[in-house]
Formats: sequence, C-alpha cells, structure tokens
Amino acid sequence: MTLKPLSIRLGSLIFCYLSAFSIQAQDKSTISADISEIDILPEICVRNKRNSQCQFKLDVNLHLNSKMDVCMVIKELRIRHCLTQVEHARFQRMLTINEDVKIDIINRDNNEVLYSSMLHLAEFKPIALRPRRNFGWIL
Amino acid sequence: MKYAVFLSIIIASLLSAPASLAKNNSEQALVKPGTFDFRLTAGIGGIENPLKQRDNISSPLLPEFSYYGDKFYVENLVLGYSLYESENWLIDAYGYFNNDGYFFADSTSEKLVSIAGITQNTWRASKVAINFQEIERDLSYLGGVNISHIGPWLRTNFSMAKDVTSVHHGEEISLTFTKPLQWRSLTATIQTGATYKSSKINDYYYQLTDTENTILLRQISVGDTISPWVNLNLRYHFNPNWSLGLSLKKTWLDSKMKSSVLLDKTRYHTGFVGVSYRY
Repeated sequence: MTLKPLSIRLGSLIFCYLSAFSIQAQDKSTISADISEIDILPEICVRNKRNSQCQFKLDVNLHLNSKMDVCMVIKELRIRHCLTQVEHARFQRMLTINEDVKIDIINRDNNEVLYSSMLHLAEFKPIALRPRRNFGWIL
Repeated sequence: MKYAVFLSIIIASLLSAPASLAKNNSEQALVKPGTFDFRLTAGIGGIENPLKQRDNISSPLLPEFSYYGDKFYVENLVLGYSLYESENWLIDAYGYFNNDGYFFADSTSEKLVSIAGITQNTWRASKVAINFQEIERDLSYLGGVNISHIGPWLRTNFSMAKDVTSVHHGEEISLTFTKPLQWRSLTATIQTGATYKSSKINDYYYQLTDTENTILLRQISVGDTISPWVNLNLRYHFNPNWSLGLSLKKTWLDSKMKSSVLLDKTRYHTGFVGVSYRY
C-alpha cells in the first residue's frame, strides 16, 4: 500500500528533474576554441515550492589551451570573478538564485565570451495527495 | 441518558485526539486525485442475515472500487464531497446506502413459517401462517456529514446522516475508531464503533405493516437503538497487484431489537476471505 504513493512521489520528482534537464539540454551553449574542457555543476537547481530561493554551490572547472586572464560573470547576480594568467581555472561559489541565471566565461583582455550557459531554476511540485476515506462496504 | 453518554464519548474522542499526524500510517491511506482504483476479490463471504427465515447473503466475488477527484470521491456505493480537508481533519458531505435494506434482498422464496409460539408479544395464540419471506423493504440512501480526525494512533470518524430517499425519513449517527497496523507485507485494520438508528429506521425495517400483520400481532415500537460492532481486516500483499485478504465484522444489535417479530437474532457477522487483484 505504501508503494503507490511512494512511486507517485518519486515519479513526480523524476519528471520534474527530467523536465528541467530537457530544458537545459535544449540550450545551445557557445564554446570557444580557446577552451579545451569545461565542467559546470550543477546544471540545474531544484527548489521546493515553499522556498522562494534556491541555494547551491557552483563549481566551474575550466581548462584552457593557453594561459590567459579569464573571468566568470553572472550578470543577474552582479558577480564577476577573475583569475590572471591561468591555463586551469576553478571557480567555486555559494549562490542563491530565484530565477534562471546566465553564466559567462570571458576573456578579460578583450571581453570575448569563451563560454556561455544557462543555469536553470526548477521547482519541485509534489502532487497533492488526498487522504483515502476507507469506508469500504458499509455493511 | 444512554444517548448523552454516547454523545459525550463522541465529543471527548474528537477533542482529546492528538493533533499530530502519524506519517507512516497516513502514507498508506493517501491517494492521488484523479485516481481510479479497482480491486476484485474471489473467495467466500457474505452477510449473515439476522432476519427470521431469510437466507444469508453470500457471494464468491467482492468488487471494490474508488475514485478520488479534487473534491469529489466515490468508494463503492459511498459518494462524498470534501468540504474541508487538512492534514488531520476531514469534513465531507457524503451519502451511503442504509444497510438494513440489504437484509430484505432475498424476498422471493415461498417458505411459509408458522409463528405460533415463537414470539412473546402475541396477544393471541395463532397458527396462521405469515410469509416472512415475502416481506419487502426498500433500500434507502442516507445523506449527511462525516467528520474524520486522523491522529497518530487512531483515526476517528463521526457521521450524521438522514434518509434522503423518503423511504423511512430516519437518521443514523455513527462513531468509528480505526487503528491501522502494518508489519512488512501484512496490513491490518482494527475497527470498533457504534451506530445509532432512529426509531423511524427501526420501525420501517423491523415492524410488520398493517397489511403484513395478518394475524394482528401486537407490536411494540423498537424505538431508537445503538448497536456496537467490531471489524478486523487483514491483508497480505504478495506484490502491488495480488494480495490475500480477510475481513470479519460482528455487529451486536441493540437489545431493544428483540421486540421485533422480524428478527431471528440480535447479532450477526459479515465477512469475506479471498484472493484479490488490484488493477
């Protein structure tokens, strides 16, 4: 008897996650030839309906083909974090968002956008379950 | 006095019930709106008929179904509409068939029974036959309000309902305590309660009409009654679809019912045991 509500809840969570992931996958991130590898985690932030904000630790791991000055810019949060003459850059930061945000990796020297990606805010909406009355047959 | 005690128990039980919800137990009883459930049980069971010279009502199949919308719900023949629903409290407008009418479901056979000497309230000795089996009563549908409190240990239901089909114009008040239990794949529900029936219900179902009373039996009005009952449900789940279930209920009719010439006994059982498949 517990299996069904549990499966419904898990199902809704998975559905929510997949929906958000699908949105993420549709974004065509621009990537410069100067970047050999980039990992941005997380790709989405899922908040509970009751919470207006979503807090998470952003971890950007960037490998460049050559040393340069790079910055991570999140305009919506007024964040600009720069590193000088690096071939490997790592940006880690606690973020709190209440809307989708755009993460740009730019070349500080010429403001060229090396990489751009959206970080989506998803909302977990648990299905409102009703208590079963369990009258059975009134005999 | 008896009814004052009954009502006191009802009010006390509703007010004293703890406010928090037992998450584990409530998890078993939650349903997604828009869900239709159907369970068919094959086995043996039925209703022991307390009426005189009536066959028990039995069936090899027991279908159970339910549908829950956002507010509306159906559970077998119970229709309800949620007026208020919180984690601990449920208030519904609801309706259901009065169970007394089920006992008259087999009124077609032709057995003639002499009542001579079997009733103490006959005012004259008689050997004239009354055909008890031809006595018919209509089913009635009751509509009213059901209030449920879901506590950490117990679920309490209190309902008041009145005949909305103009069959007997009577009222019922029910109080039910339910204790759900679960041990691995075995679920158990222990219930106990009492049902108040107004004299209009009892007189309609359990007294002979002037036409039926061909030998002019002196009848005493049964009056209002309170009948307690206990119920045990056990179900072993093999998987989400298949299970083995047992349900057994015993009802003790109020001692006032002994004055009814139609009744053979003042206690009866209902039950079913079988294998269930849930769709």
